[in-house]
Amino acid sequence: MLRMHLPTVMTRVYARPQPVSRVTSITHPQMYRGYRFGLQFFFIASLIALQSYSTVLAVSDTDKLRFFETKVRPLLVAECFECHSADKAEGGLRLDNATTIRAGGDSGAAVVPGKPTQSLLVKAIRYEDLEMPPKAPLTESQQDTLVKWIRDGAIWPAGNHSRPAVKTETEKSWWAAQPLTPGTVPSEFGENRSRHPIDRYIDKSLNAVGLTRAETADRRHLIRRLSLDLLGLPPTPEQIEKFVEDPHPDAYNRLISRLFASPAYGERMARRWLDLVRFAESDGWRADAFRPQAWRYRQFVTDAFNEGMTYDQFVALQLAGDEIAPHDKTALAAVGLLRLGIYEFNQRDAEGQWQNIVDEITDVTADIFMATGLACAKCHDHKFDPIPRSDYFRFRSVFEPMLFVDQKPQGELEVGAHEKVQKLLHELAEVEAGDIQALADGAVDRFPLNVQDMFRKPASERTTYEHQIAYLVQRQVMDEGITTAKVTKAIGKERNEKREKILKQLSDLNANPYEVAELITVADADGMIRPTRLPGRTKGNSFQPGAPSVLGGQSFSEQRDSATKTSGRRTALAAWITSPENPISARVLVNRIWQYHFGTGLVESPNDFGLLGLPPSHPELLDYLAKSLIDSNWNIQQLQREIVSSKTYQQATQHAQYTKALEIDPENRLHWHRTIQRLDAEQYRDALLVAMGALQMQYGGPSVAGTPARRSIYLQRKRNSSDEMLNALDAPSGLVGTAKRDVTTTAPQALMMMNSPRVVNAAKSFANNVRGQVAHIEKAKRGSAFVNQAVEIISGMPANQQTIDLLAPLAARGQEGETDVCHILINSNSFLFIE
Amino acid sequence: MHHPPSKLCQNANVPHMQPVVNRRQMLSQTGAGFGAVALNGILAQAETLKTGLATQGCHHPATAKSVIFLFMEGGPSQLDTFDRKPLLNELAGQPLPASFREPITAMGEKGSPLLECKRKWNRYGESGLEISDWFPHVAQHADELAILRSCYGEGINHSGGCNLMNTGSIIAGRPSLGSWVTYGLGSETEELPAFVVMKDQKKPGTNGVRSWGPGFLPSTFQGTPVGDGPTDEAIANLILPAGIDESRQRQKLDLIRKINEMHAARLPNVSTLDARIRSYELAYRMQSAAPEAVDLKRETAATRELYGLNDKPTANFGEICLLARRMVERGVRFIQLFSGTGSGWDAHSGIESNHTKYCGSVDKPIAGLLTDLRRRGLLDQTLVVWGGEFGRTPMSEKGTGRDHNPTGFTMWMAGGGVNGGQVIGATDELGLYATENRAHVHDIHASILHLLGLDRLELSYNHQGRLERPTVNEGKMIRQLIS
Repeated sequence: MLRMHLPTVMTRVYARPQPVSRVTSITHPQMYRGYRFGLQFFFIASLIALQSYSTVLAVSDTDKLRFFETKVRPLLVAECFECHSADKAEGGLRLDNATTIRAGGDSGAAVVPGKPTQSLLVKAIRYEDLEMPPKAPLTESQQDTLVKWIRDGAIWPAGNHSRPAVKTETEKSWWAAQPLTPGTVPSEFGENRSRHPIDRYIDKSLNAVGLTRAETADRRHLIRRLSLDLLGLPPTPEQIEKFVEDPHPDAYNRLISRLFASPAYGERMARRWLDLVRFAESDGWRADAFRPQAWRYRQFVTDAFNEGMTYDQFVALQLAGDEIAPHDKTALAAVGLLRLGIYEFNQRDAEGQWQNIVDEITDVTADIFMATGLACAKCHDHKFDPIPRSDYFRFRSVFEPMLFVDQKPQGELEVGAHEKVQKLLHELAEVEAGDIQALADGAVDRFPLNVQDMFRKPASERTTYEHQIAYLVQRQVMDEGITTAKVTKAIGKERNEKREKILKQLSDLNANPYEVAELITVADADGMIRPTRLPGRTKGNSFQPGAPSVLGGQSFSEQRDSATKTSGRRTALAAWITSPENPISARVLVNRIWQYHFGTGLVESPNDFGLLGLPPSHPELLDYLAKSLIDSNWNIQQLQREIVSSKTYQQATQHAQYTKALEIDPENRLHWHRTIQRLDAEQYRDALLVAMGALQMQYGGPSVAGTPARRSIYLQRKRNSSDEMLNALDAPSGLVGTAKRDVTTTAPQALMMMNSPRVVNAAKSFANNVRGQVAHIEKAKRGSAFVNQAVEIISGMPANQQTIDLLAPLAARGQEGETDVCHILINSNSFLFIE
Repeated sequence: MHHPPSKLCQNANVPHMQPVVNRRQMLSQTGAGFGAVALNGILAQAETLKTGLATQGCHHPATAKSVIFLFMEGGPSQLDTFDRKPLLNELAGQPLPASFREPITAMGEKGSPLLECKRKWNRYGESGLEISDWFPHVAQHADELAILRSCYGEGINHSGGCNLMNTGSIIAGRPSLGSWVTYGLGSETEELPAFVVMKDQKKPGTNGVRSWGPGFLPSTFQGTPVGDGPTDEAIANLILPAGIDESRQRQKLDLIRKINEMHAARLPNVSTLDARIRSYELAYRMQSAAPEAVDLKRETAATRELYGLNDKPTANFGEICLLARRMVERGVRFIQLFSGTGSGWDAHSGIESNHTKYCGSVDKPIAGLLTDLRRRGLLDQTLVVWGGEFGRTPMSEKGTGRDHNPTGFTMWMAGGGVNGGQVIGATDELGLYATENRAHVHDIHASILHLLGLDRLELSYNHQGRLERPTVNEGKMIRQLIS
């Protein structure tokens, strides 16, 4: 029974692999050639961009060049390159550079400049001699384009067919690929001088434009800012009072320590990381099925931050937890990062589906850890960044052997249980009587024939790729082929009840063959590792795993473990990411952390350090912090402490000379004052629960359906249906990674805050909460006291007289008035914004 | 300045966002006041200066101002509606001839016989377009229709197909077409959302809110479902909370404004605070405008009859068609109507009864919409698009149905500058594969954008370093639509 429905990988036993050696820094010669060729597109773009036409070409040539770039090259790429470029060169013909296009192939010169009628290319596209392209002739206008191009001299931009052996200018100047250069920490500047290294970098650039930093904010603002930043929660009035009155000279640092020690810190940091890695708890395709195992990854992230896990370990476990510690449930949950993508349960095109899955994992990994738009190079060399197409496939090949693994609950069987299981399995086989197997077979039969073949092969004969495809088929058989409805229809209600009963007993013994997985993770598959090639190719060039060439291009040395069969590719990738020689990873992380504390990173485009992104506002500061991070052995909390203890972080939002400062630096890129932040979706909802006195601080565990009074990170996050409140405040859907949330202000948002029953009820509970706190105050003063208390809860500030004058009369009108006061305050900007 | 266009980008003539530097400049760039841009757009701009976002305006003269996209969810059969295949009935009962490449079908039934088309066909209008008896009312508008018979895509299942038709990719995560359009053009109303979605039944649609989601664009540009909430309100949270009357609400709003103005006075350098203060006023106006916009009692008996509101089978879709017209009149930019959410048109078996029902439920309302738009002079500036996520196979499934066919299917367009009374492209002799003038979904999107004055390459958004464009850098305008 079910012999073919239990993939071998599920029950495979792993041995501990050998330690994987660190990445070597030898540049692979073959790779380097590939890279140089691949730079072609990029080079053209830079040629046009960086040199003015007039110095290179006559005016008419400029038009011809533009014609070439806008009409001819795209046409050649689309219609000809597949067979006639460096990768293939069929018939000895390459149409991808000026030299070879004129030289032609086996049949002779392809193009005679100025003479279309004598050019073989023209005869071929007119189907006069050869018939090219073979599938279908070009359209008339496409033919005209090529004829015109040849008549005008078949101009081809100079320079890109012979690539110099040295790096190009653009490549040399890509800041993110340079070694860290923090320089020396500047001396102290200005009236407001500070010894803190961050302040010294900041003050230096402010000083250069004649500005100074703002004063330090008062303690009430500081504790609200820091609490919302580090915990995602507002401080209570008691916490505010304690801090405001703390006479200790080190009060601020003690506050930082207290906040780091709170479990809420890990929850807050996890929420930020979850955005980045497109975490959600559903499939995100049609059925959008809930993933009951997804929370384990969230738990890993939350715990990692709370335990102060270093970034190198954090990266290694998420990319290769299964290779590093194959028996450790935490490590297996961590590598669940690679299982966060979307999935369709009803997809007969299993091969196409797997390709999409691995593409997505490749893209998202590069985004998260390298902030590099690798995805651009999937179909062509990156147009702006020095990333050739080969880099994409080298990176992608890291995931070539990776298989999805759904681990069922496991446990030690008691003595004698084995026989019990055998007996139950026998009973199951009897009641199913082959009917379920028939259903499953029918589900397999609906796949294309070659996919069926891969699935029906004995597992021991499959390649890694065949294992991957077989997994998708298997999963679909389980999810879509043998649903309860289909089973009931096939065997009838009575038999199914019997069957369910047996399955329940088997579940209790951890032996139910249909059991839902407890943990979703990955492991490298058995079998021959399929060579990574361009899509659709089965022969020719293949790509070995390695780093992008502009970042050193190291090959990822591979050591296949004889017991587990794991390739070590992902471990090597993780080691490369956090190797001290890698210039980009520390910068990327520092920038993310900076953004968490200031709203905007030193590099404003947190997931794009490429040439379409923006250069850092303070490059030396970025490098100083990156170097400190590496020197601290990737200690994230230490970095955060350094940032939030700076005077730059502690600045007030107001500035005495704001008119002048606004003219010089309207966007506050130089940090002359504190930029206010709007509460994000989770901060807003959690703070509402705090105001209501309703927040349940229960740490960790599976998500809860509905809208329980727990922190928002524990709400079920489904991709196809979003929580109205969180959605209105720009919480991401988890379909793609989000490095920086949008902050929108819309009328529907205002409607939600004014009219939605959830907010209206929150106002009621908030009012009840405050009412209890001011009940002991004499009636005449209670209206003012109510307003004062409510304002402090909502904004961390005591109410000013104007506010009291405005709201106290309303509060004095009884419960309805009090509720209105609370509703008004929930809608106030002093609640919604953090100063 | 935030997000200045890269020099490299400018010099290489690569399309890029024109960022807005500050609020003052933003207001001057958007022309004479607020009327020209979207309600949400204005607020988004004030708030998203940081991402350099701004509604962009037309790239070339537009022939359409707004779009009504009639989405037949589940996949209507082209073979039984707008793409007649005489050979299909000749070969009915036989397997697909060997000369046809075997497609991957969604349900994977292999070797099923061809299923005959039971429809009666007629030629209509001066153009003589052939339309089946499942669309007798729409057929009266033959001379308005440009029938695209050569549509194709890669979405083999509903999720992939709907995703492709709505967002340009079978894989989730990209902005919907309506989001791109409102991002590009904004809206002409402050009092209604720029992008509205309506369904003819409560059932959730394939892919849920993703079908009108903003993808990586700010949520400002997501579609707003109308009439889809648990209550009777047209738009979520439009009705005053229980127990709160108009004057109490107004009092609260006044106090919120005062409190927020006091707060803003302390922070004179923060423009986002103004935007939030303003959002309450706009919300308040929406509260009075939206109920009026959706009040069908204001329509005459004749109009209600025209849309089929008096007959049960057509009443639901008729209502949303009529609402769509009212929204177009009020400046809503993009309106998407769904028939049969939850794959209603998905006739894997019993296509006769399924399509009789669904065609019957939309035929008269759509015809009514076209008539009404025409007589009010709105059709010339309103592009009406009809189609599903794919078509259906000539092969049978389960004996009486047809499987999904993304490789060749029919859509049509009318109004908005489209030349009616023509057929564009063709499928093979059995209607399985698009063969002539093939129109990928990206081409269809590029064409819709073009008619609205938007160029599919110039409309772009810098997302994580990639200049993302609505048709994923592909597709082209189908010129024949306007020639």
